[in-house]
Amino acid sequence: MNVVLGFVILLLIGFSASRLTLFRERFSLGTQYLFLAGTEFLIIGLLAGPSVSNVLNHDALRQLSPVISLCLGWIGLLIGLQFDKKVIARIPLKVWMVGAIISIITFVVCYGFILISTPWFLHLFGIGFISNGIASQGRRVGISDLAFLLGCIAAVSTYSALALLKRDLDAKGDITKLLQLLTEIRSPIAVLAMGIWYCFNHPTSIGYVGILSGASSSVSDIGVFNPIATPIVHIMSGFEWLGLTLLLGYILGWLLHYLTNHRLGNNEMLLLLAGAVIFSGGLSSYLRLSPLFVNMIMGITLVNLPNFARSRITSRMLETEKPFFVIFMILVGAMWPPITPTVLLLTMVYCVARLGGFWLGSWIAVDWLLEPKQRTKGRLGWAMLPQGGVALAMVVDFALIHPGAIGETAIGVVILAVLIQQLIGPYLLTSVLKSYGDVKPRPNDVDKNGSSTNSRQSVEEPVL
Amino acid sequence: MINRLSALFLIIALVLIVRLYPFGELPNLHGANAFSLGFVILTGYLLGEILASIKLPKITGYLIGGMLIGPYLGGLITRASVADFQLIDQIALTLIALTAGGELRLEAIKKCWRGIVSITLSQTIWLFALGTISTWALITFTPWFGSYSNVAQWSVALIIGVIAIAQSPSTTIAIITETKSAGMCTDLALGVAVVKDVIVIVMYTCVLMTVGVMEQGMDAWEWIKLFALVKEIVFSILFGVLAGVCISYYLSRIRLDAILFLLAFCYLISIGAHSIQLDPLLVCVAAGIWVTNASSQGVELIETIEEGSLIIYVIFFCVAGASLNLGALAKMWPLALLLVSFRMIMVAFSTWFASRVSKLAIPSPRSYWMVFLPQAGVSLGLVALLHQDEFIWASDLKTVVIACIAINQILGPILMKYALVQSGEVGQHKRSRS
Repeated sequence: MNVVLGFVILLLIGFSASRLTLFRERFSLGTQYLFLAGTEFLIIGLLAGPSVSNVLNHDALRQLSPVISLCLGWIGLLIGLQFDKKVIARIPLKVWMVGAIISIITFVVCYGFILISTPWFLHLFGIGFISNGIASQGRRVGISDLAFLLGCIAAVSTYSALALLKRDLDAKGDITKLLQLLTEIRSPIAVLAMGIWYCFNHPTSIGYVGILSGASSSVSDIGVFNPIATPIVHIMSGFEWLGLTLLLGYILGWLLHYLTNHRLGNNEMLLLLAGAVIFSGGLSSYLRLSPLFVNMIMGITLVNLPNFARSRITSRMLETEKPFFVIFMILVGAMWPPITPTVLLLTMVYCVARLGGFWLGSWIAVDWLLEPKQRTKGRLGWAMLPQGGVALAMVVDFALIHPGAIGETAIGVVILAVLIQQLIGPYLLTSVLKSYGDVKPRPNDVDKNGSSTNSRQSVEEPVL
Repeated sequence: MINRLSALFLIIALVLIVRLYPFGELPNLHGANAFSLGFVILTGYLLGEILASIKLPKITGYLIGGMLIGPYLGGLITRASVADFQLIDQIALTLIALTAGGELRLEAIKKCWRGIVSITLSQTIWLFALGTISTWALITFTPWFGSYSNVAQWSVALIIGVIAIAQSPSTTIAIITETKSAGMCTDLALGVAVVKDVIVIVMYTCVLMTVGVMEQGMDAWEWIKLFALVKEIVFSILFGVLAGVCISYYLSRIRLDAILFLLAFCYLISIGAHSIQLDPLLVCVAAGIWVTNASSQGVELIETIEEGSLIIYVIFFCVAGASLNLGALAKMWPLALLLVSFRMIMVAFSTWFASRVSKLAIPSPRSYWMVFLPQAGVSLGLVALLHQDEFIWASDLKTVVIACIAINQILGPILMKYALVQSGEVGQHKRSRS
């Protein structure tokens, strides 16, 4: 039965791909964005996963765990590769500051709101909360850790919605440029924050023993997330783990540079990139460090080394980004736990807090730092609402390092929040860009429903 | 070469530090698997390149890399990790089978069909007959099988006789892809490997039933098993054709992210074929043959798989190397060496016999037979079907077959590449395609 269902899923992939190719331009903006953001693959993953058809069963997910490492590492490396010091130097300091302020305020608002309100809400609705098990001599990985994670993830946005508007509605202007820069620079800040947090909350440092709580559901049974209840001794401090993380990223960056620094065919380049990324991702996971963070450091090291083969490496990575992204979305979809009242409640809290955090952050940052013509104040933040691959990668990263009920809940919350924000994000973005003249409505091109008919370009938009 | 050697040492040093330094208990199966796979890919690739610089096949490097770091020799990756690579390994194997089918162009096969038939028949008959007799003669003098009854010795000989016929389609296609070979010898090697794959599966089932009759009487003969096998083969081919139709439709009409579609297809075949009594290899070979010969998407199929072929081969052969039980080789190497030598002589003789009978004009008759030597997974899969509770000699037989395959896996690709170089077909692939 599962196999038959598997083939149905395969046909679905083919069907969705064909629909996407043939009719994408006829869909409304929101639907187009759902396709662009890979939502259909999340759904396919859910259908194939243990919760529905079990084609991607627990064993298969465990055996495909190197692919998860590869995807996380790939995303981390791509983020790191954007950090060429020559490019970074060209970004005005004010933009950096605006990005940092928006990120920090969004984080603080989300963290605080989730930390304070969630226990109260849960108590009000009579829902018990879960933790990741109790350490024998350490502390509980609980709601504060979840709040920290969701706060960091809240600060991240995706560029793909903006790319869609640039392509379909010919969005251009100062605000568009500013939003693009703000989106690009905020992901590394969040990955960095989480990377440091992992070092100071390392399973060995906090004496964490991964015993699943009784409230676990299907995902916690998946081998990938299945912690082994073995007592862990405290060996290294947070600073030492941080030093090791940075050293690993640096050495692996040099190693990849060394391996790719001569004439290579496309096939060899792909093999070396994939091999190095799986190796570093796996090594970080093995040491319970963040594969995203280590690979980001690897990318930063690589891009700033002399004689770096930028065009060859970056172009090969971007060429193969889409398949990896699709596989990643399918696997994340397969990990999607059942929607519980806790997940639903947390998702609502997260979405509202994020909306508020962005509004407040951009209001303060723009009012304080930017030119009068860029003073879009609070609404600018709402233009950065859409989330995608990086947010999902961050939550999977957490679930791998701190497996158990908290990671599982976080996955449920982030997937649901990403979907909600994918639905409303593009409309808020369009409205902000229209109000500041970056999108000029053209009656011939845009019909009443808001669906565009002007472009039939086959541009590969960045998917992260 | 020095660059690659130093990179290899750096990677091994990193792994050793992580494995040996007391970071504390970090039980993380997910991380260990990914870490091991990355290590396998990088080490296999680097060793393959190092061996290629001394004119040896890259896949020998991948195999040796796997053996060196695998649980039976270096111990840098664990048995549990190797076992967990099974799914990725299966997906790689189905992609290789799809390539093998895709490379079988009926136009080219028509030109040498007489050769394929005569070599297949000759090798099947001679290898089985001479293989069985010589194995029986050999094992009666060995300490491992000498103490068994005469019937048991003949049973072992019959099974080794069938396994001697087997040739690895995956190794054959890997060497052909690596050397970019094209021509009569190449077509013959691939055609014979695929046909023998089917013959060996059928013969093995028959021999296993015969052995059952010899040991347990006529009750052990079950026609139903034979029918089930025939049904499996027929349905696998039919299913493969259906899959081929789907693949060619996708490649011609939809085209979007074809590699993802093929990966999903291979994944489903890997996990699902056995549960509906189909042979995944046969399904993929049949699908590949259909796409190449009954649609115009053959080149597209091969090119799509070739985009990631290197990583597929590195993973597949490294994992094969790491899974090889070298303990078996250490235990039974003298007998294994003798059996492998006998097989080589028999392959040479049967190929010479076939070429004489069918008057084949082979460009390099002295070395040509070497293209039929590679053996790998199929043979291992066949002996894995034997159960100790059914046959008391099963464990010893498995050990000797594994030892023989370990030797063949090292020697086979080297000799096959040598034969292709001698035939002058190396590097002809692009020219013939254009």
